[in-house]
Amino acid sequence: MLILRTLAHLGPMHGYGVAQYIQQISQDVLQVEEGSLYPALQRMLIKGWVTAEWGQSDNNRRARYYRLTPAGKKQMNAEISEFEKVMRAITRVIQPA
Amino acid sequence: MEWLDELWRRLLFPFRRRQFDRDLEEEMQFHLDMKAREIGPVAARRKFGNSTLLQEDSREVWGWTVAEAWLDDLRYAARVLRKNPGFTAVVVLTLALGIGASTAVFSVVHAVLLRPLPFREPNRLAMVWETWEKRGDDRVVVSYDNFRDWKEQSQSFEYMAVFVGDSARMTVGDEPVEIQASRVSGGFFPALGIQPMLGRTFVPEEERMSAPLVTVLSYGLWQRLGGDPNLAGKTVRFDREVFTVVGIMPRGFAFPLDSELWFPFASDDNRNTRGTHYLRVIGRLKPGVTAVQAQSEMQTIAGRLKQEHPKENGGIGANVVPLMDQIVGEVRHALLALMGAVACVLLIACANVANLLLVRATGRRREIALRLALGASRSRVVRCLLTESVVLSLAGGALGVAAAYWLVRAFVAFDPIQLPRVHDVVVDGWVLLYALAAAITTGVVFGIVPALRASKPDLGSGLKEGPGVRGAGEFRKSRGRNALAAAQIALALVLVVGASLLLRSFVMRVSVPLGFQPEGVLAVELPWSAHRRVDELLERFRALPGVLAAGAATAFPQNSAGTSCDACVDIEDEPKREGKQYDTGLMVATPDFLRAAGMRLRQGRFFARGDGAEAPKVVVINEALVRRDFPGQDPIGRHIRWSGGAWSTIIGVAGNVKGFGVAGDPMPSVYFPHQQADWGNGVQVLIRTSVPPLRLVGSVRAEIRSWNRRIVIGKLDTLDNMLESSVAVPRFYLMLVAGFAVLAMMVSAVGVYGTINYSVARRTHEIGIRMALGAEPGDVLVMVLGQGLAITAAGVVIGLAGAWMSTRVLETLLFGIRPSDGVAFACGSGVLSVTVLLASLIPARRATRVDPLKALRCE
Repeated sequence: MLILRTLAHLGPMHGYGVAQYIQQISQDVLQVEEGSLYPALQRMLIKGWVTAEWGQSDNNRRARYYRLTPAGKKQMNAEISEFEKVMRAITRVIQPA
Repeated sequence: MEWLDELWRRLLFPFRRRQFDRDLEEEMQFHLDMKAREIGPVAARRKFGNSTLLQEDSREVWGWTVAEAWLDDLRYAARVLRKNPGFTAVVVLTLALGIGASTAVFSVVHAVLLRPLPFREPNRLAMVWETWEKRGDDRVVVSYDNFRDWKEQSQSFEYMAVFVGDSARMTVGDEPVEIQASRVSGGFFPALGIQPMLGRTFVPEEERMSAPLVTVLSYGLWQRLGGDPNLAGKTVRFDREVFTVVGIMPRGFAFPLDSELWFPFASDDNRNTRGTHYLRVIGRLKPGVTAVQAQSEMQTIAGRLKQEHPKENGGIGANVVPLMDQIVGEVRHALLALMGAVACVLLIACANVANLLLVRATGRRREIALRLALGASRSRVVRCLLTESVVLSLAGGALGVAAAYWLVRAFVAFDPIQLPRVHDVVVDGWVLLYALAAAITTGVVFGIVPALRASKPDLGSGLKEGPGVRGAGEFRKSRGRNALAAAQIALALVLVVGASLLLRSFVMRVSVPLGFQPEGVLAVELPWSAHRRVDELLERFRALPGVLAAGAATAFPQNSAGTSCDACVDIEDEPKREGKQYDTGLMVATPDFLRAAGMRLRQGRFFARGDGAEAPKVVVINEALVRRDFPGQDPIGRHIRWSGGAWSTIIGVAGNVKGFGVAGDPMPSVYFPHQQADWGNGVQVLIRTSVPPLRLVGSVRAEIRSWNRRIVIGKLDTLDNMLESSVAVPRFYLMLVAGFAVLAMMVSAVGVYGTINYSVARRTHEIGIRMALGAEPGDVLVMVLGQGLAITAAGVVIGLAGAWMSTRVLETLLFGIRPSDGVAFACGSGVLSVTVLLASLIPARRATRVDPLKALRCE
């Protein structure tokens, strides 16, 4: 979900950028492990949520950019609404009555 | 649809493998570099972790890793096996033997026992027989009136029909040949569920004696007659009669037996009474009715008929036999026994290969320990080793199937045991599937134990060990191999005992005193119609140079009871008797028959020319009949008659005659002179010659042709050869099982040899010490032989138990001995033990020649 959201926000981005972004936005609370980032990206490729192509990075190096597909957007929305549902439920439980 | 896209992407993956790896690597490198800029290269690398592992994880997401590992295993297995051509060849050949033999036997079993009959819903077809309770016969041909009542009263059958064998004569080229035909009643073709390919089958109006002659042809006969597509409705000529062809059956239909022609069965034939039993009955059960249900209904009907017709139907019941059981019946046991035998051979082959693999795995301990140490999981190592053994067994299986293909072709061509449905025996998809399953199963079976053992995670010792030698306790450590060798011996013993049983039974079969002399006799089989002028023909034969005697009878002497009948013989002044013990054989013979057959005369005289149609009625009986009916009396001059005919005076007693393989005592028989009796089904001529009989074949054939151009000559061969062929079936089983047994014995001897040889090699060091400390070569010999003896003893004990339990499947194949015959058991274990001990003597002798100095120094 986070990766999808990041891609939706930034547009096409490479793996490193995704990790950086999540870390920055969450103010270092969420650290994306490389060990799970790349397998996760592969899984999304299989599912058809993202596509990958080679492009130029900011510092003129070849980098692989991931782009969100319509299916990926749908998946993202579904996951976000599911997450919000769970979140609301949790909030209600932990809020003092 | 999404999952389809997903599947597509997954399927494409293997083709983009290389691209993927490159991309991933570059991508990660990029990531690393970026990170390094941020926090420095070392920290970046630390944070990033094991990039190879990460790559592997990413790749695994695509779901191909398992298949790729298999492929690696396969490649590795192929390489390892190529590097050890000797080992590979031995294993592949051993397995090819086992899998090939079992595939060949399976293809026979499949075609004969498992494949459904070529009729519509064949499991609804059944034969219906009469049972004769007094005689204990359960499959007796049926009389027409009984059939008619069964058909009218029973509710279990959709169709019920009769058929009876017939034949027709046709001239092919110059030689007249006989064609198998059947007379069939109305429901016959519908019962089998078969439609004619062209034309129609019979209509009720054709089932009369007076109806015009019509026939249905088989596809094959139609082809031989030219295959005219408009033949239906035209006429063909058989014998001297002209038939109208009404229909042609589809290709492959031949029932009963090899019928090629069908005629309508005339329901108004004067033989169609309640007392003349000559018909076979086939029925199609109604859907949902089982043979057992039909049987109980038929039993009720038969009971009713018994009461209504006490004279004709006293003691007659009914018996419903599913068609498959009827056709396959007796060979089922034999085939299952053979299947068991090849299963033994296959298991022995497996055990042998497992043993080889165990030995090899021990040699590969270091390699395997290294793999485990480098992080391979145990299951991964087992899978790698199993792949190797399955590759081996698949190679063996491929070779075996090739061998089986040729074996089966040869078997069908020779058909040594007159197997039903033999022409259906082919190596087809099912058989290949069997072979594949057999190969994979054997691969796993013989591979799993060595693989599990070899991969036992015992890192330290495996790596440390080196190519060194270990000493005492070797026997205990090699328990697995010893057990395998013992198992081989046990299995081989089962086969060897089975073969000895068949061998003993065969010897008994052919050593039965025949009571006639088959050497130097040419035998000719002629149809019944030859009897009218048979004297003329015999005169012609006698005139041939080299002929000593020529006679004819209704049966060859080895078929001592040409016709038999239980209540047919009456003795003057004695009450009528009935029952199986009064079965009596009947033969009609010409005066010279006794001399031509070389039979002995015990008393009185045989027939002479004077015993013509007008002369006083005379008869000759055999010794068995004297023993039964005239114990302690002089039979000469007494009067007997056959089936209520005229009384005949007994003028002589002939010696008993027996064929090969006819169990029990010779049948009491009566001989009638040919001028005074109705003949029978055929004329069997015997020509005793002073020259080798086969030299006369040409002139005998020519004499028959010039005597009667149109007569069909059946068998024409020496009497010796005919006797030989009467034991062809038991001889075939004997050869086959003996072949398997010898094979099994050799393979297991090699197995024991290998086991002991290996353990001697491993114990060289220990033996060296023993000899250095003063052990004599004799002591070493005893010690090593002791291992062989222990293995053999264990194997023999288990094998004897196994043989005792399993040889009873041979019961139907045995003649004159019981399946638990002690001699066969003793001989079998003796032969096997000696062979195996001889095999273990070779490594034992090698052990005695160990040079203690060398053995100790090579450490």
